[in-house]
Amino acid sequence: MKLDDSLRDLLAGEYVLGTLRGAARRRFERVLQHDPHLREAVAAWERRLGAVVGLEIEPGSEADPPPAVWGAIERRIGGAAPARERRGQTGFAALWENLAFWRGLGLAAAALLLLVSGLFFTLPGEVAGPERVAVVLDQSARPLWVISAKAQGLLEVTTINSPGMGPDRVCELWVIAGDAPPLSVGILPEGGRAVLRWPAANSTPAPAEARLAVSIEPAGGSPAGRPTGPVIFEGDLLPL
Amino acid sequence: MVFHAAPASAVPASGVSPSEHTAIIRACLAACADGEREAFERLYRLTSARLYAVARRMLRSEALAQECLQDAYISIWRNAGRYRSDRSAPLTWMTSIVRNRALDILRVATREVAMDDPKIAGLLDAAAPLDGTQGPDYVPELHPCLEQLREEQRECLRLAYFDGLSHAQVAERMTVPIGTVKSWVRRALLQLRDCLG
Repeated sequence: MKLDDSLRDLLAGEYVLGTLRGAARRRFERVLQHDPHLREAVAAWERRLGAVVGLEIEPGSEADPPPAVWGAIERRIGGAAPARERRGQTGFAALWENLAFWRGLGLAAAALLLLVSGLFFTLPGEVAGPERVAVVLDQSARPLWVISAKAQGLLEVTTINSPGMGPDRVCELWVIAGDAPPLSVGILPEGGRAVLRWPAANSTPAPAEARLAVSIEPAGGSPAGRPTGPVIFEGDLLPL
Repeated sequence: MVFHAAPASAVPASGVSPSEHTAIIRACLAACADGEREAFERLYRLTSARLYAVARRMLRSEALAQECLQDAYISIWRNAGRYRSDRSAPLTWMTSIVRNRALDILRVATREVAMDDPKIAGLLDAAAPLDGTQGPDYVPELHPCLEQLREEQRECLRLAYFDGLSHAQVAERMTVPIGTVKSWVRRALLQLRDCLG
């Protein structure tokens, strides 16, 4: 690291720590706007200080803010949508809209593809996480399941919220590779955790090459060996 | 068949690992970037208790902390599309937004004004493990890299990071010259960088 870089990095540290004040802070923020390297340095310090000093927030000091705070936030965002939405519908938003009509069937879900950096796992006390993960959300952005691909061809499924399918319907998980027909993985649980086995057929792709899909099927799973009900989720397992 | 409204919860559902909790927060942020209000509300329910604690710790005033939280979440909603998952964990990114807003507020509302708020006295008692007067049962988890620092360096970092104090205010609090504080902070940062990479 050159001397200049080292000084800039220290300045970034003081900025994140909050000891860079006044006009110097304003100047730093102006430079930050068009200096990606400096932004990287700031992000690194946010990570470092958050990991070491941030740990010390006393657990008991966390309490929900009064309900009025959320009320005020809702009023202030009013009809304003984030910038990206104003630029036009993204794939995700379009998918979301299309899914609206599944509501009548009782379940609409959308996939959010996750890219979880290794960063989280460098925090102390963390154990190595699953290798690949997908989260299935419903139309209210309520997470239903977290699906993690583990070693030895296992898929660990954690129910975050029950899909509330009732007695005669289930959600079935499928693996898809390219144009090949979907391979059934198993029935997703209504609650708790389940471990499903990655299909063992010769044509089964590795998790990295596969897509996941979830369909609504009659109790006991699809009678046809392929999805017969509406597909409510499609997405990749992304690396952690 | 209708979805049941799930009760909002600020804590991870039981059985959800920290990495899954982070994955959910990340998913909510991604949906916020696409304008999903429901995801924003969920994100708020999942994270506001933590961020409120950060804001209260820095601002020492419930009223100011609530103002800070409002501004921060508006900023999170508007900038969700700019969050880069390869650069920082989602809660780290959100915490930075709260901290920056709190520092702005501190610049405007002097600490003296905040101290006059009658609500503050109780808060001051409740917060601030600054001098070991916190509850006897509470031992802050000490990161190994923090352990390598001298206690006065750690104290500088805490006063600046949590309490939003400037070099001069830290110097006053610790009754040492400002130059000493500056060099303690600088050395502490360098040591942390060496230790954490």
